[in-house]
Amino acid sequence: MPTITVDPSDFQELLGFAMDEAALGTHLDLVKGEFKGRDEAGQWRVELNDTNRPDLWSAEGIARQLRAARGRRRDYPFFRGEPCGEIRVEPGLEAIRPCVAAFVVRGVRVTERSLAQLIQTQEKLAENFGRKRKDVAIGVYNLAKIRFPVSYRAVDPRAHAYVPLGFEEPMPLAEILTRHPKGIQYGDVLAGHARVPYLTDAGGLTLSMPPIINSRELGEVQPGDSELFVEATGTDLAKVLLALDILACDLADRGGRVQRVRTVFPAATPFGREVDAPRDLDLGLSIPLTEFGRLLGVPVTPVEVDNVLERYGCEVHVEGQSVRVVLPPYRADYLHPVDVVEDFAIARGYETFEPRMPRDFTAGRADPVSLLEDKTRDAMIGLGYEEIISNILTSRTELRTHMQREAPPLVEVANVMNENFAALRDSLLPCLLRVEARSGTATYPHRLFEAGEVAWFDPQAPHGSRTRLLLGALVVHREASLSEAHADLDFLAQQLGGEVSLREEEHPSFLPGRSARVLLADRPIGWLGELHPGVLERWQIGVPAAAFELELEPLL
Amino acid sequence: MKPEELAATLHPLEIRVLLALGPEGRLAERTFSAEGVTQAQLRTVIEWQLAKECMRLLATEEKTWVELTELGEKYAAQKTPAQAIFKLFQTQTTLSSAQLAASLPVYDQAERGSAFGALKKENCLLEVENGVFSWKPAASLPARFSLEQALIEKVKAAGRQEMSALTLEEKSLVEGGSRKRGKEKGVFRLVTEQARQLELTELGQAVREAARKLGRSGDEVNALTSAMLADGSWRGKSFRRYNLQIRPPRRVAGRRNPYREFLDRVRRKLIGLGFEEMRGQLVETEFWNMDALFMPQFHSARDIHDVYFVKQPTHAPALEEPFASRVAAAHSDGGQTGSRGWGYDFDRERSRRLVLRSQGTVLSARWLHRAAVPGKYFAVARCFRYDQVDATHAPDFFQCEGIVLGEQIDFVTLLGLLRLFAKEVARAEEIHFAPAYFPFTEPSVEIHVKHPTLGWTELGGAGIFRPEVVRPQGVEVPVIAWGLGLDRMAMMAMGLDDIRELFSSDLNRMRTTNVRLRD
Repeated sequence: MPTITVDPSDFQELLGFAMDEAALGTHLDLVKGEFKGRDEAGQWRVELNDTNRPDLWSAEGIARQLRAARGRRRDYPFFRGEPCGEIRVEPGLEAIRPCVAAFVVRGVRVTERSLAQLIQTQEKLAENFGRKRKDVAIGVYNLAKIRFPVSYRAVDPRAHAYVPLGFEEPMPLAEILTRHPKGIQYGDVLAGHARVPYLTDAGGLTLSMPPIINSRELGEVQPGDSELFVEATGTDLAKVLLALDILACDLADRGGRVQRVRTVFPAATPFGREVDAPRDLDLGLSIPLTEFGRLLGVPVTPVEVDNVLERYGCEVHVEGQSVRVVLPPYRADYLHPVDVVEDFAIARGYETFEPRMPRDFTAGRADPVSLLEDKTRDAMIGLGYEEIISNILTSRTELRTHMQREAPPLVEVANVMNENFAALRDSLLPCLLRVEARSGTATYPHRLFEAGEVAWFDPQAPHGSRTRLLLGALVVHREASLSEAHADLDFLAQQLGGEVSLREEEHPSFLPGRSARVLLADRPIGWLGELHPGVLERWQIGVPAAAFELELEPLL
Repeated sequence: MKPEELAATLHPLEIRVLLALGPEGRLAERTFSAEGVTQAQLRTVIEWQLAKECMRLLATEEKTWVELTELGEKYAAQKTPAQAIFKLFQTQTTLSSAQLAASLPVYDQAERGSAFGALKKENCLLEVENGVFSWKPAASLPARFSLEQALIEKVKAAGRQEMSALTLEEKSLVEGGSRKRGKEKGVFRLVTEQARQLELTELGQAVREAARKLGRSGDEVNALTSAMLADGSWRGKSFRRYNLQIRPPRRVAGRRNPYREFLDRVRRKLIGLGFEEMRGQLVETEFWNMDALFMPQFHSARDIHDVYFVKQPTHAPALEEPFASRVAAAHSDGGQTGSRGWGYDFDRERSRRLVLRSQGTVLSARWLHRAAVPGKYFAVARCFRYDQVDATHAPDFFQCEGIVLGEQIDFVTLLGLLRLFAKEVARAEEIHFAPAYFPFTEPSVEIHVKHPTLGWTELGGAGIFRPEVVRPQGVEVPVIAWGLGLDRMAMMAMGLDDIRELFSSDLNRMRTTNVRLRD
C-alpha cells in the first residue's frame, strides 16, 4: 500500500477547485485513500489502499478521480494519432527484459514541484506496481537532446560505458552495476545474464541501462525543461503500457501535449509487432443489470448505472438488459463484473445504502474442543491457578536448551528475523517458566497455567506438523512438590471425567525419580514432575517448582 | 474516623491498656503493666495505637537487662560449684580428685574443673600430695564467689535485673561471667531492649473518654465460639465491634488471564449472535493461506518479508482436489468463475509451500466447501506475520474473522452485519463505512467507529467474497467475509499502550490488570 506526498496548492490546481484537509478526508473514500496528516514541509500524506489501482498513486490520479465525480472528465486524445518517433528493438532481449514502449510530451513546464511529483509517481509505479523494477521500470529524459530512432538492445556490459546520473566520469556498464547506488540496489534484476539491456539514440548517445540508471547527458531532467521522452521497460508488455498510459494522463493533466512513439519489435507481441504508446488497453466488461441489484441489495436502473459510473470516469453503454462498462485508458483492474459493481457502489457512496440485518436464523455454537478448553480453564481457576497467555512463536533456546531437552525436532521458521521468535512452541512449560522467571517479586505461592495451542513436528502429518491443544500447570513456592501437582492433576482429571494414571518415567526437564507419564487408559497424554534444578538454574528461578502438562483432545 | 467510632471498634486489649493508663496518659514500655495483657500483647497494642494515631512516641531508651542462662538457673537451684566445693571441705580435710567428682555428681567435668582452677588460683586450695587437696586452714570463701552466688539468686528472684542498677563489682562479675566463658557456658546473659515512652494524643484522650462513656470494659468477646452456641453462654455477652476501615490482606487467587477474558467475551458475543466456531492448524499451505483467497502469487504480501516460511518440511505432499485445480484455473484465466483471472502461470509447487498461518481468513477459506447455507461462522485464530516486534507488532497475534453464507446476502446486509458488530462488540453508535481493498472481497468495506476516547478508529474490514474465491469451493450463494481488529479494543479495555503487554509475562502486572466491562 503506497503512501504518497501531495502538495496542497499543486493538488488544488490539478483539481480546478478548492479543497481543504477536512474535505479531502471525506473525499478520499472515492480513491480508497486515507489522510495521514501533514509532513514537516506541510505536504499532505495520503495512503492509497487499492493495490490494483496504480493510476491513483499520484496527485494527478487522485485529482482526476475527484474531478470526475464533479462531472469534469477530461478527454485524452493522444491515444489515437500518428507516432512522432520510433524505438527499434533488436533480437536478444527475449530472456532478459523484452518489453519497451515510450511516448513524448511537449509544452509541459517542469517546475521543482511538478518534477517532485513526477519522480514520486515514477518511483511508486516502479517499486509497487513494477515490483521493485522487476516487472516495470520507467525512465524520463530531456527530449530536446534525443534523436530518433532510439535503439533497444542487449549488450556486453564490459564493452560499453557512459556517465550515469550522479557521477562525473564514464563508467563501463558492468561497473555501474557494482558501484553505482542504483546498480547495487537493483542490479539483481539483471543478475545471471551475460548481456544487459541498453537504450541509445540515433546519434549513439546513451539514454540508460534499463532498469538501473539514466545517463547524465540525456537523462537528467531539470526545472525549466518542457519536452520529455518517457520510456518504460519490463517483462510484461501490458503492464509496461499501463504504466505509460498512467504517466501520459498525469502529464496531460499538467498541460502537456502527449505524442505517441512507435516500438518495432523483432517478433509479434500480444499487441502486434508494432506497438504505439500510449495505447488504450480498452478494457471493458458486459454485465447484466440484475447483477447490480443482486449484489447490492437495492434496485438499480440503467440510467443510474450510466450516471453514477460516468461520474467515476467509466464509459457506459446500455445494451438491452446489460450494460457494457469500459474502463478509462489509465485503468486495467476489472477482472470480474463484481469489480464494476463495487465501482458503482463507491461512486454512489457507501453512505447512500441503508444497512439491513441479515434475516437468516442460525444457531451459534462453540467448537467442542473450545468447550473442553473452557471447562479445563474453569477447573484450574477453581484450584487457585492464575492463567497466563503467551506467544506461540519463541526460541529454540527456551524450548530446548533451557529445558535440558534435545528431542524431538521443532517446527522452525526458515526466514528467521529474530532468534527469539524462530520456532513454534511444542510445550507450554517453557512459557510458564518464562513468566515465573520474571515474577520473582510477586507474592508467593505461584500457581500458573496456560491452555493453548502448540505445534508438534510430524513428517507423516499432511503439513509436517500437528497443532495440539495442551494444558500446562506450574506450582512454585518453597514447599512446592510433586504431591501437590499430583493432587491438582487428580482433581482436574476427575472434573474432566478421565481415568488418569501415572507411570514412572524419566524426563530431562524433571528430577530423576520424580517424574511420570500421565496415562489415559494406556495412552500417554502428558507428564507430571518436579522441575530439575538444572532447568530452574537456567531460567534463574530460585524456588522449587512442580508441573504437569496434558494433551486435552484425548479427553474429549 | 471519629473518636466514638474508634472507641467502639477498639480491640479488648486496647481497651484494657487505655483504661489502665494514668490520667496523664503516659506509658513506659517494660515497666507498664495492665491486667490480662502480656508484654508481647502490649507491644501489639502500642503498634495498633500508633497506627491509629491515638498514641505518639516521646522517646526510646535502650536498657540492658541481666538474665540467667540455663546454667545460671541451675546454679540458682544447686549453688555454684565453688560454693559446693567449699561446703565439702567444711566436713573433709583432704579430698582426692576422684572423691571430689563422686561427691559432686550434679556438675560435669568442665564445671568442676573450672571452679577448682579458680579456687586454686585464689590459693584457697593446697595440693598436699599428688592429686590430693585440702582447704587452706582458716581461709573463708573469697568474696567474689559468694557475691556471684548472691547475684544469681537476686536475678532469679526478680526474673531479670537492669544492668544499670548493679554495683560496680556486680557489673564486672556479670561482664566476666557472660563474656569470658562464652555464651553457652556463661551464667548471665545480657539482653538489650528498646523501651518506648509514649503518651496519648488528643485523639487518644478523646477515644479513651469515648470508650469510658460507651461502657467498654475490655472484656468484650472477640469471637463467637461453638462452645458459646452449645451452652447458650453467648447470651449476655457483648461482642467487640470491628473496624471495617482497615485494609484487608491481599488475596492471591485463581484468575482468568485478562486478555483471554477479553477474547472470551468476544467469543461469547459472537456465539450469541448465531455464529459457529471454526478451529484450524497453525501451519498452513500457501494454497489455503493465499491462493484459495485469490491473492496472486506475485502479490507483495506473499513475499519473504511478510510471511514466515516453515524450515522443514518445506512443502505439503499434496493438495486437496478438486479445489487445487479450480483455484489454479481461477488465478490463470478465471476458470469457471466468470473472471478474467490474474493472467499468469500459476505455480502449483508454490501452492504446497508450508507457512505459518498469516491470516484468520484461512479458516473461512477452508470452511467454505463444508459450510451450511444459511450459515454463520467465526474463529479467533492465532496468526503470524514477519514483522519487527515492537509496541504495535507482536510475533503472533489473534485475528477474529468469519463468514456469513445465505441466499439473501448482499452489500446492504453486509453493512447491516457490520453495524451490528459495531453496536454489540464495540458498543459504538456512530459508524462510517469506507471503501476498502482486499484481494478476496468485492465490494470491500472498512468500518470505522467513533470510540469515546480513541476517536475514529478502524473496527474491521469486510466484503463479499469474490466469485474467484467461492466458486472453486463449490459455493453458489453470496458469502460475507469479515474480520475485526481486536487488539486495539483489548488494549483499550485493559488500559495498555503496548501490544506486547497483551501477552504479559509479569505476574504482578497480570494480577492488577482488569478488563473493564464498558470498553
